Amino acid sequence: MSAHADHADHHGPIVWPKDKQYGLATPGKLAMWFFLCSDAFSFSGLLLAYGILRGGAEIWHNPALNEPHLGINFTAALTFLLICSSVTMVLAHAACVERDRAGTTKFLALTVLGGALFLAGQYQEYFGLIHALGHGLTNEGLVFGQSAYATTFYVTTSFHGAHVFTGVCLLTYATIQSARGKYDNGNHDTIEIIGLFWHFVDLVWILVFTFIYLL
Amino acid sequence: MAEKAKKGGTAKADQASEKHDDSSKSASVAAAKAEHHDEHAADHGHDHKPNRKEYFVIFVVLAVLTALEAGVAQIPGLSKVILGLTLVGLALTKAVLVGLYYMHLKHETQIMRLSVAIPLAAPGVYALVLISEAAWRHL
Repeated sequence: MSAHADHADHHGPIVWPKDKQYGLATPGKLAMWFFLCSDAFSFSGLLLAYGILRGGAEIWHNPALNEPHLGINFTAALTFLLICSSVTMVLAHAACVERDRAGTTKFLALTVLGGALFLAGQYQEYFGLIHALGHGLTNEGLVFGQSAYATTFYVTTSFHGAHVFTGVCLLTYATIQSARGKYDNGNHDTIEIIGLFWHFVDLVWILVFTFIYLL
Repeated sequence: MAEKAKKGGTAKADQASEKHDDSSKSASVAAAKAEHHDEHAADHGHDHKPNRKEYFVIFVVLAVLTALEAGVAQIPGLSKVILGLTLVGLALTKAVLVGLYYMHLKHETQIMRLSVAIPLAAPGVYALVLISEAAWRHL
């Protein structure tokens, strides 16, 4: 059955042997899910530590330290940006399933753009890229190591930022491969696996946004 | 092509694809599987056709929920418990939507879904234990 994968010119999705328990999920997809579960535990560790520190603190946001409040609207816009990039990601996968090289490449590139803009937004939030939007939390008195409020914020959001950066690298690779026609044979497994990682980064941000910024 | 697809749309779809090495026939089996998938519950783990309309509906829901979150968080004088429950509820709803529709868990087998859902529930259970313990200490 795997012999079908060698036919680069046949139409429709490649047929994988169906597993009794895991259906048509490929080994690569299962491996990505295992990784995502372990990665979710890493984030859970950070968020639980944050919860324990915050729950046990008498004053969480100490006015004496003059630490700035986290901006909700700007970050909500970043959240929306990640959601948009998740949509372009599923559209890239859909185009790949249909063997539409131009569509796959276009939507992958848009996803890369969304991720890059998110990183630029995070840079703006930390250090202030465009001064009209703010001078950056580091310049406004939110100093790493000064308080649990500051440290948990930087550790959690930068760990997420590292994931976005990884995602952007993986997606850039996929965009180049797609443009070179590597996915023309209808094997959309790589795109789906990178997509899983990317949606997970979006999913985690949804939770980080709520726990760190909104609550 | 459509006839072949209908023939293949039986439980013997796998057998059929093993018998015929011809590439177009294997494609018709794949198409048949997609058809077969629509007829039955999603827990067969069949490959599915991307549903762009569904993707956009989920996108709109996620965008609306995000706007709602940002709005709710800025309502003055809302009790902390109500605010917390609302925001966590909204965030979990969004996370589940992303998992089910964008990460295609809706189209995976039941065992696959549980393999993901059970471990991911563990930190939530841990958080509940910690919160109840803290609440009990402050009684």
